[in-house]
Amino acid sequence: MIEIKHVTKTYSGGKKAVDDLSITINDGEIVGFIGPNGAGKTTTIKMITGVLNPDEGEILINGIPMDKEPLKAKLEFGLVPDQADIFLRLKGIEYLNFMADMYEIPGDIRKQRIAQLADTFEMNTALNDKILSYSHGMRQKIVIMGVLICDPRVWILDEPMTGLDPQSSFRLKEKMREHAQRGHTVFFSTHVLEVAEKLCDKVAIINHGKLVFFGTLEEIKALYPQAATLEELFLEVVAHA
Amino acid sequence: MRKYLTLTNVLLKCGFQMTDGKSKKWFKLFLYVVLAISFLPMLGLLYFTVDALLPLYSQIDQSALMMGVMLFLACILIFIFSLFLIPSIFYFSSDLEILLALPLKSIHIIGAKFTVCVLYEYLFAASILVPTYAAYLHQGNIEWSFLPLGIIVMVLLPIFPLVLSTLFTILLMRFVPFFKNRDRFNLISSILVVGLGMSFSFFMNSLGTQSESELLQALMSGGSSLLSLFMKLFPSIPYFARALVEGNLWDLFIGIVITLLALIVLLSIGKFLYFKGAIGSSETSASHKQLSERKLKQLTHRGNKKWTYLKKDFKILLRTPAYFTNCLLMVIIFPILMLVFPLLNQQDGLSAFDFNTLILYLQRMDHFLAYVIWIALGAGFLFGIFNQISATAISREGSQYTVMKYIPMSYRDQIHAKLLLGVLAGVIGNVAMAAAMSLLVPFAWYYYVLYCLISTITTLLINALAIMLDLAKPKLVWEQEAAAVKQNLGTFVALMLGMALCIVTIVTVFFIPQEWLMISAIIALVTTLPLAIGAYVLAGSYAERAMRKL
Repeated sequence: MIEIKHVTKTYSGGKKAVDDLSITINDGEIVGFIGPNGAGKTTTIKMITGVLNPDEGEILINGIPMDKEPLKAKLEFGLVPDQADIFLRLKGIEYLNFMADMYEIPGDIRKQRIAQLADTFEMNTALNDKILSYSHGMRQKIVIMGVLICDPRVWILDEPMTGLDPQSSFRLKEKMREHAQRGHTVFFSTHVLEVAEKLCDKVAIINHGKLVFFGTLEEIKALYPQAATLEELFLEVVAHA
Repeated sequence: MRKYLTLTNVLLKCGFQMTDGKSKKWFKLFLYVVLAISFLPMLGLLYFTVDALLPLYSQIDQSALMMGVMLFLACILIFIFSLFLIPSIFYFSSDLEILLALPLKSIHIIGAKFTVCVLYEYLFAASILVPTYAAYLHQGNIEWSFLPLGIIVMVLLPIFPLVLSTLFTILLMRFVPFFKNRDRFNLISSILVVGLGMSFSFFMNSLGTQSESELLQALMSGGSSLLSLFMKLFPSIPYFARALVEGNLWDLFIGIVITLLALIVLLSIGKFLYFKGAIGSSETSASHKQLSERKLKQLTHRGNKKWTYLKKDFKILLRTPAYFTNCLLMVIIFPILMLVFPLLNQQDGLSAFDFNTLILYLQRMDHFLAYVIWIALGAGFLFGIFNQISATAISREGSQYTVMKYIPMSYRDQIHAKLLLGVLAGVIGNVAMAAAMSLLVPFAWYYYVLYCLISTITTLLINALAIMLDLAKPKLVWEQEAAAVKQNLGTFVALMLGMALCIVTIVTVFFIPQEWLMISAIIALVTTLPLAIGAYVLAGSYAERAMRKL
């Protein structure tokens, strides 16, 4: 569960990147976070994960306040950042083992998960190579695998489908569904509205740092009955914000 | 021409920056003033050397040769340093993929990149030529045309050595696929540059040990052979030297023609070979081998968090050529230098002192143990910071510093792991230094063990201070890893701090009365130990505050 309570972030230039944002993402839910470029999605994700400190408000991960007990809160979630170029000089297997050590995963469990995930994402022959030699999509896969082997209860994914091939994208979506079905939380940002439409229980739409809609697809459709697709709905919501 | 100018302008804007791009103007100005001041001793040394030697050369009517030596010095420095610069700008810069896709001719890219390199190298040229010109002006006996010609020569001089290193790089990248791997190229070229630098320094050193009469003799007999050596390597040098000293415009004209010819050759060869070498220069290679069950089990062993973090940082240091050469190679090179130079000097009969006499003298000294303690404390400051690992601990993370913020490991533990890596490298440096010293000056073994133990204390202290400096103002915005170490004010400040503490510690010994030496050494030891432990603890607490602000 992620609770974002009246969170505000202002950058040094005086621009409010996030303005009094409040969202609660319950256990067992997949929530898509959508909005135009520069709307405040990545800033929000950075605040949820402790990379940035909010100027006002509070963030709780599974009831643990990020500002008061950051270490405990960080053990509750795994993050796939928007930039997958992480520790490029490490080999894939070394990166996965590093992440597993950070999340204190026992040796036999991590080994089993690595083998399983390497099959799922077709990374068997890449694990022994440096991440520097990977393509953009492979770098994205290794970062995703880094989260999945640790199996935290909350998944936070910033544009996770970017660069993924269709098979991997499909398998990741399956994993996200399974995770939510196990009563855990998935929160992800995306620009691909089709993905949000098919995968999410709820969507949160943000524009100019403000939450302009948060609810189920049925609720948003009821608000704008003339819109046929989520794309049209999104444009309507942003236009009326 | 317009495309060339636009590209040059853009490359210059994206290029060399000491600060993180967010720093205020006054800070940048302060930085440049500090840098300029730190260069003053070197410029002064060059000025006084030329000023002292010039009358000697004038006596034998060879003042043009003296100028030739200084121009050669500038050219060789530019050539050695450009062996690093050229590949990174021409082949391994992140803009290359974009430039190759744009409708640009190879001549536009080579021209713009070459211009950027030439502009960078003016700093080297000026640091040698300005003190040289000043010494010539002070000694008089020069033509009216000296200054205007001096400016023209300074503008043209870096071109020839840069053409040489660019041609060398273009040919290597085109015909030796082995070097297309960026990491491999950087590693080999950096070791080569260190080797060249050491040989050059040794060569200059051996010149310096000759007496005045020997030098005069060498000049009388070998002046023309030196000139012919310059001629072969950098043919424009003798002409520029004569043009400056004798005011001969014809010589200047020949020098300009040689420089222009070199440029034309570079552009003509580059036109055909550059694209073929540049396309497909890869970052690293992949084996595509599946891990065996045994290997997988071995590699997925659960480890202690701090140790895992330290290992991760060490692997990155070891595998990143820029970090390897600037942080780790220095740890190995310094003790080798310690060993090699005295031995070579001994072989040449140029030994400044006899080691056996030294050992006897030192061992008979009262309070020898006290000296060992003081020297170990001082050396720990210097050799502890030489590797720059702690001073760049956060800066090396670059844009990935966010990973430090979201992984479930306390900032305190992360900083302690980084600090311990710096200390470990420092201790290895101290031990290697003690081993090298033990081969040269065979004192009783326990003195060396004591040296290693005591130097570890100040190594810990200076590393803790260095990591706090980097935490306070890390350089996180950089395009190439080398910038995190080389274009980082923090590393410079940390190195200066280490050197200052080392000098202060060792100089203190001379002001302490003999009867107080031992007791003062023990007091120094007893106060430094809690200071070092305190600094280690403080670095952890400071990390918690500083990282939150990043």
